[in-house]
Amino acid sequence: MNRIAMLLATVTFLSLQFHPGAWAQEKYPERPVQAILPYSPGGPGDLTPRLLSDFMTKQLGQPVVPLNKPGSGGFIAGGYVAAAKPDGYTIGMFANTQAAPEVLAKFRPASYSSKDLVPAVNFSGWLVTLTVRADSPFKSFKEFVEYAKSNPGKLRFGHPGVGNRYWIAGMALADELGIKMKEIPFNSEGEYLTALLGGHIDVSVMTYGGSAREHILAKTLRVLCVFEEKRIEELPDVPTVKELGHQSTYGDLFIGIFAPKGTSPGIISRLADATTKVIENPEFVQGMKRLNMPIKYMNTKDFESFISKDSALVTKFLKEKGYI
Amino acid sequence: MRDRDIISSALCIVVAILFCAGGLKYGLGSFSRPEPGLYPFILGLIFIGLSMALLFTSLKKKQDAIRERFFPPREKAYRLVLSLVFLYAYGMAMDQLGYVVTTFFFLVGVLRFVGLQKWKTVLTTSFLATLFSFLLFVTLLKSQLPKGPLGI
Amino acid sequence: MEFLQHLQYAFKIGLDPMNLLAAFMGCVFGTLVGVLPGLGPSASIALLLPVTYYFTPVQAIIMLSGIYYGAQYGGSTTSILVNIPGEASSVVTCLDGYQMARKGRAGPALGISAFGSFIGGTVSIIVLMCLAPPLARMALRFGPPEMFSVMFFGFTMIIYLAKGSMIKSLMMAMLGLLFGCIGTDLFGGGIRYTLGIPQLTDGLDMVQVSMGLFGISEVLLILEEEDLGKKDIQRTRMRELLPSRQDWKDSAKPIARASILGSFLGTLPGGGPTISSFISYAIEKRLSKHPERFGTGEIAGVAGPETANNAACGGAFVPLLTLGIPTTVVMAVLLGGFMIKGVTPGPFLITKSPEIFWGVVGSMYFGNVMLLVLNLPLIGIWVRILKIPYAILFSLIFLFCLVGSYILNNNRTDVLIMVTFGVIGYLMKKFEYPAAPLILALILGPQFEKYLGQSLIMGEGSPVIFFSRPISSILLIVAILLLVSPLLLRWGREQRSRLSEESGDDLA
Repeated sequence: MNRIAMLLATVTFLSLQFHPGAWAQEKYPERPVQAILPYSPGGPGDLTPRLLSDFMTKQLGQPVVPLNKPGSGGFIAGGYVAAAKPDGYTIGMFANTQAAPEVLAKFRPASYSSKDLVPAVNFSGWLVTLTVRADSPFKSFKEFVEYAKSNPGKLRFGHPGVGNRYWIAGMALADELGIKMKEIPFNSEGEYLTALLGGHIDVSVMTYGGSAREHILAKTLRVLCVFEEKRIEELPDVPTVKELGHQSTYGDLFIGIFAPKGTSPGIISRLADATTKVIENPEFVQGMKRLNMPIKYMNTKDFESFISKDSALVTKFLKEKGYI
Repeated sequence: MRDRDIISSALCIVVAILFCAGGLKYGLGSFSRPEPGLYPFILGLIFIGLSMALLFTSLKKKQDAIRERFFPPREKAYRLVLSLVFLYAYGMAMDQLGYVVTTFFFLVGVLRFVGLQKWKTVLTTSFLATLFSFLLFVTLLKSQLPKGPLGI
Repeated sequence: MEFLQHLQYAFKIGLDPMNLLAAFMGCVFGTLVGVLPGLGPSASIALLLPVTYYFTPVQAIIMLSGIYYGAQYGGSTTSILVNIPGEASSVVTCLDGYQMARKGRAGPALGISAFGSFIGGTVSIIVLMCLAPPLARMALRFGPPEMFSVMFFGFTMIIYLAKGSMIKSLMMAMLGLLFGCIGTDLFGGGIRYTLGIPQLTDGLDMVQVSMGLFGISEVLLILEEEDLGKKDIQRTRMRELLPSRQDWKDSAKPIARASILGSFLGTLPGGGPTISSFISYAIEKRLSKHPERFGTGEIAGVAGPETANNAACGGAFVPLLTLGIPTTVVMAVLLGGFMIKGVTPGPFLITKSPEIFWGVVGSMYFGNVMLLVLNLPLIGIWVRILKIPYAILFSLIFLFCLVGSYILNNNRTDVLIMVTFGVIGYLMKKFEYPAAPLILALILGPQFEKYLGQSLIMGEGSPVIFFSRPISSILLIVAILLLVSPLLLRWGREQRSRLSEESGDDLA
């Protein structure tokens, strides 16, 4: 009798090991979860996921440990998560670029594609603006466009590198407007912020956050428009690209949680639910406010469809313009 | 030195040509519309020029009075090769075996077979160094060093 | 009058016991981080961000800043002891510092480095206090063409670093620039020369390369040459532990010059401490009465660069605190630290949150004092490490480099690349090619190309832009003159000697 019981128990136990999804999703997570971050430590792209990880730890009951794997525009981190075991203990906190690396394949090869990742939920993003110096002659978007049209190739446009989403947003808008500018690449936003302040470039795509925001509020910089669906709360007078009659939502950037392909839907929904609760936590909201990063939420389904629409849009643009 | 200079400058020319070839592959473009290959191509050309200058001035010099030995004698060379083997092995093994194991065996290997120390010294040093560095990097500085199959 | 008021305020905040404690913690940690290569200040500041949760914003920022300039103190330690630069800004210190150590003068080298760092740091704080806003505005005027000229000037200086054959130095500089092309091209967005290795997409890292090129290759060479036995790394007996009176005399002017140089260069974007350190080295070599001694253990070659890099740290705070612009990666992480505490530096900082600005300034004074007090006794300890028999020490140096290069990006390819550069460095030493120009070209190369390209786009393909702007043209003209002058002098001397030969020299 005992032997049979033992045997049954063993068989049950073993078979459960072969169906990690079914068993694990009840108890997930049972041990620390690694959250892979695609940027070097310290920037807002790193601090925001870290903040979320802190709160997720409390929510999930197990430590969510951030691990930086910077490099290659985030593709090293993306590849690492894509190749990890789909047991829910390795997740990534990525933006558009890492979510669909094949879009930029011509610029920079990646070891994986969007099919190798499963989006769970979106929790933040970047607010992209078109910004000029306060003492520049362009007091409004309209004036800027007029000048640009009558002086093709004169304006100096600063951006964080060919292939970067900010560059894509700016170029797509320029394309729609039919204007030509001198494109000057920089290694980071800090660099072209400096160049803009110093008068070495005339216009750029700036994140509304961090030091740029301080300058905007101090009125040393002026925002011409924002690449968002709705106006930014703190900038009630600044129109969105949509209002100005332009399509360019290439600037709609997210930061979301991803897991390797094959991760069970149970685990995915656990992550999504936990994130939803974190976002409602007033302390988290406070923390995000201090970082000047927005909370943008998309549930799993919406997130998935956004990503595929977004990649298709960008791919189409790049193909039409002959970049790929 | 003359002979060595001839060899090294020739090697440099080869390396420079490789870089130039790469530059051509990436496209040269023009000065107003530069492509990725233009800058390295020009650098490569300058490098070739300098290397050729060195090559020719070396060729014009007289033969060395004393031929200094280039490669170290057998026992010393053995030390170098062995060290390199251990160094590369460390890099390869780190992710699989984890920090602690790899470090310990590396130190044992290098101290015993290159440093030719007595086993007592080898083991004590290896143990202490592994322990100390672990405490320093992982415990104190919270670095993210890999864990091996045994969980350390 | 206002200056004294500010000074009082700064000291008041700086002397607050909790702030002092925060500064102390930062400095200790920073020194540790500086001594250990691979664990740069950026990584450690980021790692400590969670700890700052328990501190007030002022304390947190004081602590994080302490890590930053503490690291500059520690970085020279390994450069001097084992020829491994802990930071890009300590590369130049290897040239003479290590040679001093081999001559048994590690103590004075470490000592003058500590004192110089202190003086440089303090001077730069004073500059920061008095001149922050106007300096920041001046720094803004350095756009791509100006920065290109600064880099060009710096490259001209590399020629003055040439020990031995100038042509070999130039060749290595070219090679360094070419190595700098490995990775992503900023302009086309394409990837160059990576041979399919994904870790190379962002290019070679200075830490990997210098640990291999300087550290590992040096060990390999010693293994080859010496009979290990019980000997230690020094060729001569340990002499004094602290700089002698003569050392001070030789270092006084270099330190003074470097303090000013670093304070100003630090405000410029892109690696103030690094470029300050080797422009200082080049200046000292040029102005020295015994330039040929540089590279064999000349103390001015340690005093100048070490002072300059610490002065540049203070200088780097200028754009950070007044405009919210980080000039290097480390400053960007520091900026993140600010932001996480809800303080975003920018034009408002001095007025909206004066306690932060003056708190940082005040604590930097005390931080520098603490670092000096910390580092001096440590000299005794470091120097004792050198006494470990080399047959054991070498394994630790190897380990140091291996772990350091791994910790960089948690990635083993970095280790393999580092070891490969060790082999390259070994071969270079056998064939007598200098490593310094290569590593310096590697560090500056990508920036050089970046500024060149940006300027050409701005100027629509024509180089006229460099001369149409005042700052840029002045720098370029001076650099070209410096480049050409030794050649002209040599040509002039040859002409004169030829003339005296032809006229039948009576004095012979």
